[in-house]
Amino acid sequence: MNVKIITLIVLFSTLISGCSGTYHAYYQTLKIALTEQDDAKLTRIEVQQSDVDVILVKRGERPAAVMALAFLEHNQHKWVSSDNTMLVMDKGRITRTIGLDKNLLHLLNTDFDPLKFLPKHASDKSQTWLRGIDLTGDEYGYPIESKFSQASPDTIQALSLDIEVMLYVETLQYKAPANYLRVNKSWKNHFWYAKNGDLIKSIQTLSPLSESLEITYLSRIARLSQ
Amino acid sequence: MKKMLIVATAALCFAGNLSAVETAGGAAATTTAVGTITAPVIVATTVVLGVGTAVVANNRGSTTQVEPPPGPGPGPGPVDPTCNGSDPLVDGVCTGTTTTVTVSGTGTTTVPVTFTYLPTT
Repeated sequence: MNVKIITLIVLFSTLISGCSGTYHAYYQTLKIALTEQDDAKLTRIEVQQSDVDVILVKRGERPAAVMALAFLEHNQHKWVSSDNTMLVMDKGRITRTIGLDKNLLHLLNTDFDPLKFLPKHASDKSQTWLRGIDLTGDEYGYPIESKFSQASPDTIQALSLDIEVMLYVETLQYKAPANYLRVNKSWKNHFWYAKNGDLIKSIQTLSPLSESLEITYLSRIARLSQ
Repeated sequence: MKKMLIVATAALCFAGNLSAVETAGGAAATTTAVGTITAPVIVATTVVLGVGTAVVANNRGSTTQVEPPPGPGPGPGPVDPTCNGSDPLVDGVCTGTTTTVTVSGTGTTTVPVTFTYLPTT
C-alpha cells in the first residue's frame, strides 16, 4: 500500500513537471518497473491435451512459468523451461539445477532421503536426514540436516479444482560453520501429496541464500480429475 | 510356478504402466514450456526510490550562467561636417569664393570665382 502511494506521488510529480527529456526518462523507467508481468497459465483442458507433462514453477518473485518434462530416466524427472533451464528431480526432490544464476550441482546421501518413502512409509519420516550439497561458485559439501513433521490435511486449489492433500513440512538446518553472522540458518520445505500418493505440489529452497521454487504438478492434477 | 511367473510379469507390467503415465517430450519439450525461469527481477520499490532521488537531486542542482564578454562599446557618433571659414554647406558640398584680379591696359577687373570642395568631418 505504501509503495503504491509513493508511486502515485512520484508519478503525479513527474506528470506535472512537464514532458522534458529528463522527466520523460523518469516516466519510462517507472513504467517499466511498475509493469506487472503475468504468470503463465494453462487451463485444465490445455493441460489434458498437452502431449508432454507440465509443471508450473514460480521461482522467487518472478512470474510463474510452465516447464515441460523432457526426460524420464534413472528414476529422475528432468524438466525444461523455454529459456533452457533444467530442474532434475528424484521423487520430487530437486537434486540438480542447470541454467540458473546459481546452480545446485550435486546432492549427497540421497539414498536416505525420507521423501523417497513418502507418503506410504510415513513412519520413517521422523528420522533425521543429513545431506551435503554442492553449489556453483566452488561451494562444495555444505551439510544440511532435515526432519519431516507429522502430516497434516490441507486443500490445494489448482486448475479450478479443490484437492484434498496431505502436507509434509521438512525443517532444514544449515550446519556449516560460518565466519560471519548468519541469520537464515533454518528454513522449511513443503510437500503436498494427493490421496493417491502423487506429489502434486512442493515449495523447496535449495540453500539458505537460494530463491524458493514453488512447483505445481499440473499434469498430475489434471489426471486426478479424469 | 507358472502362475507365480504370470503374477510377477503382471506386476512388472503394472509398475511399468505407472511410470508410463507421465509423458516426456525429449529435447523438443522446450517448445511446450511457457515463460522464463531466469528473468531478472525488477524491484519496483528500489526503482521508485531511485527516480525520486534523481528528481530531487536535479531540482536542487544549480546552473552556472556564462555571461558574454563585454563588447567594444558605443562609437564616437556622427560628426557634423564643417566648411572652411564662412563657406556655406549645401547638399553636402562646401562652396567657397575667391576673387580673381585681372590687370589690363584699360584698368583692373575684379571677378569673383566660386569653387566647391568636400567638408571636413
